Amino acid sequence: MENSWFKKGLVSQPRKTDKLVFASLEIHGSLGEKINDFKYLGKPDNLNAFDIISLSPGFDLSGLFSDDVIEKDRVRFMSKQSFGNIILKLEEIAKGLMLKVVKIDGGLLQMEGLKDGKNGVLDIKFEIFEIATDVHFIEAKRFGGDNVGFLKILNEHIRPALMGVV
Amino acid sequence: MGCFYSTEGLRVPSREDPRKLASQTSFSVSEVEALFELFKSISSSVVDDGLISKEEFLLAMFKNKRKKNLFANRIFSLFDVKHKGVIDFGDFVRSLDVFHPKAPFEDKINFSFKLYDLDGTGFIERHEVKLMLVALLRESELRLADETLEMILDNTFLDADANRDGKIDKSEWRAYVTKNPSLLKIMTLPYLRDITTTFPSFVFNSQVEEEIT
Repeated sequence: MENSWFKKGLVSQPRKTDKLVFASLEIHGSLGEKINDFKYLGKPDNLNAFDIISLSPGFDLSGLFSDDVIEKDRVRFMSKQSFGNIILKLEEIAKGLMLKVVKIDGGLLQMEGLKDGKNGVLDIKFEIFEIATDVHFIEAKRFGGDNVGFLKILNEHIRPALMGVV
Repeated sequence: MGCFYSTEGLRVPSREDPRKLASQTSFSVSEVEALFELFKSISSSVVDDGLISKEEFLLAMFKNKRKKNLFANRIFSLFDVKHKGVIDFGDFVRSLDVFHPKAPFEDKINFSFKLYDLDGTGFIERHEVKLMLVALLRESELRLADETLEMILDNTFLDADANRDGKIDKSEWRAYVTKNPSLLKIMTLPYLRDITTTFPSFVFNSQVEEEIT
């Protein structure tokens, strides 16, 4: 599988299977210091119809147990790009916004802010599902930080970079 | 269920004996008591009649009693065990029990099968799955080309419809989710294992009658 991750200074041998590509990657900051060293598991899960359907908040009964107004802390959108490109773009955006990409595992990516806000550090988790070849469904959920910052990043940076006409 | 007795001038919905409900479910007596507090608050939010109406259910789930959501409607229908258009306390506890981490997998299989069998024919048909897919996409303000939808359906039915008759029967469903248990992750709410600590705000009024032996 052609993937530009591999051009970024691959340090260990990728092991290729039918569904997964396992690679280790070092990312270096502008001063040459090592920022992150994490493993990628390639291709995200292939979704079937029931996986997609089960994403509905209509199945989330936790609202019954809580009085809190459900804030818009979750954004979903589609991207007609390859998984590798999506990851790359997310990383680029994170770097530009001074956010740390903490973990990538399968179809999951986490972005973490560096500054403590009133609701703690901004913490966004992205889950990427493959629906069809190079068509991905992405869910971004906010776990820390405030909604305004979260929605701004999603709507002004991430969605424009990843969305196109599907 | 749903008749009243007067206690100190307050209307209180009658309920099945919490000990009986606890014995039939994975909940402890004090958890059933806590669920009763929750039930009281949900069932009185629009009309104070000791029963949860569809409006009250949607209000509790989404904080919006007019929210349109196909899947929440399906959940409501299944919780409305006696098909009366309302959920009583026994229905509430027994239905939530299916979502308990300790509930038998077979119960989750049965519940989810009924959930997805929109017209109750005893089969999950392709057009029903398509309808649900489209509904989900619409909820998320997303769209997919029809041919992509058909491809997803093809792949799904290739996996699930073992006898290739265009529909999924209960035994095919059972085999399918047994092989792919993550499909039933919506059927388990881990926090039900410990509701009294995870959701302390509605326990404040809980009156557990300690048995004095």
